[in-house]
Amino acid sequence: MKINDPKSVKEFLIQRVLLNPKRDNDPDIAKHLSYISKERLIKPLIYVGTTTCAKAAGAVKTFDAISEYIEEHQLDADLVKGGCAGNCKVEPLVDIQMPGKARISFQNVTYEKVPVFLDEILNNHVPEGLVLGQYRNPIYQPWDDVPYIDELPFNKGQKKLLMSNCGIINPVSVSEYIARGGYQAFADTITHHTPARVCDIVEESMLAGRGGGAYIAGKKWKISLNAVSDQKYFICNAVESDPGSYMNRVIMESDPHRVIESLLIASYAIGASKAFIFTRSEFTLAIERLNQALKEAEDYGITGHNIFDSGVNIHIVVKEGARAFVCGEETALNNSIEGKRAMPVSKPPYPAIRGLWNKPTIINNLETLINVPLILKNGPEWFKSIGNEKSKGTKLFSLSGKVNNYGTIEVEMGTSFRDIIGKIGGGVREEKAFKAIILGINSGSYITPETLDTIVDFEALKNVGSALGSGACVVVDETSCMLDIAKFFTRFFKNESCGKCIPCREGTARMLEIVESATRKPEKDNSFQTLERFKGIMQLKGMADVMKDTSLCSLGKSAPNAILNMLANFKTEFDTHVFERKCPASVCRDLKTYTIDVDLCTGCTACYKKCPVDAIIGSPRQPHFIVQDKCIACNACFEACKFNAVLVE
Amino acid sequence: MSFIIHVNNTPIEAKEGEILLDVLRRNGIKIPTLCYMPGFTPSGACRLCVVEMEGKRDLITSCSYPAEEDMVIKTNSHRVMKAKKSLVEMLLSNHPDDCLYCERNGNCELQWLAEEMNIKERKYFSEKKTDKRDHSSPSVYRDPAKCILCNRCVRVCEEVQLVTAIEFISRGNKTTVNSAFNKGLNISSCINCGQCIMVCPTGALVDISHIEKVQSALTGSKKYPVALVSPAFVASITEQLNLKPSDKPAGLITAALHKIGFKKVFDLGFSSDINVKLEAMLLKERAEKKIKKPVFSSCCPAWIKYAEEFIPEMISDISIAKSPQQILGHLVKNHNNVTPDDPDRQLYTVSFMACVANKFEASREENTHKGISEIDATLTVREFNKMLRSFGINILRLAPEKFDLPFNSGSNAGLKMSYSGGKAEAVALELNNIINDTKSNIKFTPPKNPGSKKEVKVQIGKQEFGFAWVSGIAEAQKYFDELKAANRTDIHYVEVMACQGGCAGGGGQPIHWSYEKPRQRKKSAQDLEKNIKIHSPSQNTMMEEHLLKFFSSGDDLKTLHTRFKKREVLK
Amino acid sequence: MDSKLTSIFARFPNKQRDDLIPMLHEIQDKYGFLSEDLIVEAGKYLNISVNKIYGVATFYDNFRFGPRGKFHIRLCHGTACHVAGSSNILSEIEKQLKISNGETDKYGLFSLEIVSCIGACGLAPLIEINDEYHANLTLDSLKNILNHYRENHNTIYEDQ
Repeated sequence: MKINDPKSVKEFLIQRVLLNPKRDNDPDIAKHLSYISKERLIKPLIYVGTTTCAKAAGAVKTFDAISEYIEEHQLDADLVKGGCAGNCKVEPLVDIQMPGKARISFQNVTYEKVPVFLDEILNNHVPEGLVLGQYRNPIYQPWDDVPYIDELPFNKGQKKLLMSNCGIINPVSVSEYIARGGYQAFADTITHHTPARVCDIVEESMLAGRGGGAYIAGKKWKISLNAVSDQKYFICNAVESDPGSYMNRVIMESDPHRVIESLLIASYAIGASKAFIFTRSEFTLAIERLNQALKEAEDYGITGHNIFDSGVNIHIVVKEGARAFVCGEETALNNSIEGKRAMPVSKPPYPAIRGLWNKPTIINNLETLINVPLILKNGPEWFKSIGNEKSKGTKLFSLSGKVNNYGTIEVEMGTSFRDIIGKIGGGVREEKAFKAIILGINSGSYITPETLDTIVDFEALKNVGSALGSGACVVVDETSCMLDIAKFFTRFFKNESCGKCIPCREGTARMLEIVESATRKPEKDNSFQTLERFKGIMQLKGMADVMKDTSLCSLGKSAPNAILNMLANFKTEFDTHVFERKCPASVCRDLKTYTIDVDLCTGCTACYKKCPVDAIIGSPRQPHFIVQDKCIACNACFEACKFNAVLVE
Repeated sequence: MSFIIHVNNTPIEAKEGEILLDVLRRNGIKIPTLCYMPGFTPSGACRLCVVEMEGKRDLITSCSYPAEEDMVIKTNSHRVMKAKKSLVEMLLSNHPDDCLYCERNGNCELQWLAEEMNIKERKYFSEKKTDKRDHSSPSVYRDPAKCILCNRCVRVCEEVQLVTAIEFISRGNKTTVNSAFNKGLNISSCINCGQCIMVCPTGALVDISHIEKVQSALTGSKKYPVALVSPAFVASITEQLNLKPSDKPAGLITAALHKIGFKKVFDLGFSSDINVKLEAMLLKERAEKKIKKPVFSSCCPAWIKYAEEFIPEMISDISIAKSPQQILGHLVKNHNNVTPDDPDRQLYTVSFMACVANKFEASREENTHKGISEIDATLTVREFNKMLRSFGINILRLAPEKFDLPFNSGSNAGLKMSYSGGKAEAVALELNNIINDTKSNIKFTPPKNPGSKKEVKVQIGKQEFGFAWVSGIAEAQKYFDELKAANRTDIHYVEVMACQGGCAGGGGQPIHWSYEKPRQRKKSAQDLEKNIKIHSPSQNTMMEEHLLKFFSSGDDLKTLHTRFKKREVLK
Repeated sequence: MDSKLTSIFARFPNKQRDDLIPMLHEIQDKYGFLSEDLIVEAGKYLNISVNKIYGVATFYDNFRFGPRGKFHIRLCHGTACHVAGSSNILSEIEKQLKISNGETDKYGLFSLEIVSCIGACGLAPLIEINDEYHANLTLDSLKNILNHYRENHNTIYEDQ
């Protein structure tokens, strides 16, 4: 095999690796693979993570600076746009691997640092301050005095199975993916297992849907497998429209071939010849990389017509949604693919029997699916050994909010939220008091200081009135108002309700109005409005129950969760708003009053200049005054005042 | 196969594949619905049909859930009742609440539900909806504020009528039922059939009312109001009041209209005869010219608008005869047959129809002559009922009166035109009378099997003629496609009615969504037919005399022709 | 019908209903928004009722029916951004530019769109202006950013 000849690499990877059951015992193959996977190098290799979050931190500028440097110095090095290892805080992240040396990661490499930084590292000198850690490499020497990546606090508590390639491989290189063990599970499946056997294996592994219902995936697949139809479909649901979760995006951007392989196995298992990856149109990079990866896979004969001469056809198409949260619901998703308004349809009939274009269709969450190649490769027993008694495998989270470390994390089922926050997240920022973890909008539930020891497990979460949700994990501290967050969620649901069924359409709108009335300016309260406010609040619980009971789809059923859980966990805070008309966290603007202490004010005009609505009057060197009718409680004067003369109540 | 399900602790029988709601309703169990329409796939939008099912965490909707053996159902548990009441309360939370001023006051499904569920106060407060109203259409008036988004109008418009003039626009609680770009119905593809009005549970879709202008014509000193009563209208009143032919329904209506203040009351059966005769003549002419393509009836204005918008290539095969309403309007206004008793008064023609598209038809440019419209106002059965109430007239206590001269006689063709299939028969009979003679008889037997094609072949003279009839635009379009695909030459006449069941299911009928009502009206019409002595237009001597008097030359007959043209709308 | 539209249509030879949303995406990419004429043309090509297309297009947040500003601001309003104070950022933008979600200012300079999550929660709150990210915003830095864009195009203001 010639490493520089793509044709020869392709031939080798297909014939000697994918279609060779004895591949694992051949040291010759292993050596070749280590070259293809870039574990063994001929020339220096520079990876720049350029996923969406890295871009936001300026990774594209860094990439451009590096490529300029390479050109300028006529370096013989590979520069690759890589994926994301999950650690958002350290972006822009640059990885460098020199021949003979282990790979090393550098953090916060903004573009202006590039020349100096490259000068040093290319001379085998580790630049100070920027180093994050090094990867373990079985072949090459480690660097001295550089910590191992997997020993960093952020990574130590994690178990990276699904993300094992993320941030490490070139996302759009099928050869690297195969060299790191990819598509082998698919090749073995299609040549050795019947579809029914694949369903059995997946069912045996107890892989549960990560989308919310925790339905055993293999069971669901069997329904479609046994349905008689000329055409079946498999859909990978990667809509991920929960604001605050972005794990699917990270996977699609960093390891698109894994998604494709999973979908191939799954489609084979139910006999679907056409599969869709349904994602959001805003994920432009993910779509681009998926399409590129699909092209490569097709070139290798891994997808398409008569795969590996097995007679199996599986065509995969990437479909873009057009932004509607409800598309995450199975039947709405089908409608969206069919080009209709994404309104959910009553179940039964279930999509597994009558789905897309009335054909049997299985829709699985992306995160559920990407477990499948691992299960087929290592066996169901292996998968069952991960996690705890009830919940198997790992779980991805998008950790964000007021924690020190944030990003995409993967933890074993059974890990406690205390560990996630304290160890992986590095604790709450600025030493503020922890208030809650918000677990995704569709569960609308909170982990409170009292339930922080809850573990990541379907049942354990249910017991504390919570649910695993989408994987968003937003940490809030004492400066956040829970009523405000509940209001945010309710407004989200109101905006995203499809409008079809009464409880969701009217319920979400009424609920929002009621919660808003609780935070409205007291001055505007006349006695009728006060009565209305209390009446509304009394109806809140009853209305929530009806919404849960009667809504057509899970969106409507989960819409009231945020309010119900807020009432269950933060009743005192809620009551303070309602009865005392005060916001303990000083977030709800209308309940705040700003005044200026005449004795403390020096008339420096700092607040006057900052006030965006001209609510502050006064002449220089004279005490100022806030006109309450104009004040929007933006807090600008409070921040501007150096003499603590602005009082907030 | 049938099995037992347990409902409210009572076992009842259900059949395999049956939907739970059907089982429950068949057994007399009250299940309210707002979005359910028999014959349509369930939409599950209103959630009012929820019931409690043992083993299910949430309530289930009986409209979409299949009956399962041994299922245990509760339809009136506390949980179910509370849920239903809350749903209605949610709908009312931003409803305009102007029932007093609402067309559907007293006949509103939402009002009924609120009353049944004993809702005494507004439980959830929200601002009342104030969406922009749409007066732009000549037939249909929309008040989106009263819309509860049940989806029925949208589905009828799309699935039954293929028109899709209205659709859900926007999302969530901002959703409205509207036309593209929120423009008026007048520039949409709406064909004015009024089927949306018939299915609307509230007052969000009602007809454009002509009551006000008719009343001012009746009470003012400028107009000489003349009523033109269509046979379909008579059949509808007959059915509504459960009259027998011996009660002389047409006579009662005439008496009522005289009492209300109409100076003359004429029978649209008279012009129906002319219309049928014209079409039979056309058919004969085409047969002589050996034109292979069928001719399509032109009396339904909604179907005409559909053809003008969607299938303009078919216009040349549509009969050029004016509709009965316009023919009589023309005769009344242009031939000095009717002279107002006071020279200061102008003729004011008011037609009484089972249709709202006629309101649009009267406003068409072709149907005016020198700037004077042939028909000044059109009242539906609903509007007539309302007028009777306002005048305090109990129609049953009146003594029947005769239609006024000169337009007082019609054959039973007019009544036949009130239901689907009838006009095809009338034209066939008339064609026979023209080709053979008025004494000869032919048999026109519609197929009994409901699934079979609605076609009849009749031997008339030397030729076999094929007659077909379709109602509901979806059915019609399907038939046209079949005709075209099979390249058929054996069909000569196709009767097209835009509303399912013909005028018996017309958009101007009393509001009652069911398949049963059009059938009953058809039955009423057929009963009335038997009492009419004149069996075909050719036997209508009054009409023949009239035609001879005013239409001595063929050119004169052309004034009773109309024309259609391709129509550009937002579609 | 111009050649841009013809070339878009040429990519959908099957004229299926499921081509609708991808086609609307492409039209919007090329023209910036979905005008009435474009929707009518798409309807004619796909043989779908204009009312249906408008119904579909208004269902999804992605489609606009008016032109964008020269600078298109996308404000992230995900959970993490909300916790970090994106509501304040939003009201500041609304106040400064006098536009709300989905609107374009009268000079055609700025338009505002609220998106549910850009996916860069670690950098909250953030906005994206014409594909350029501005992260970890404060009210002050927002003002500076907006002024920067404004000043570089003050000629537009004078012209008006």
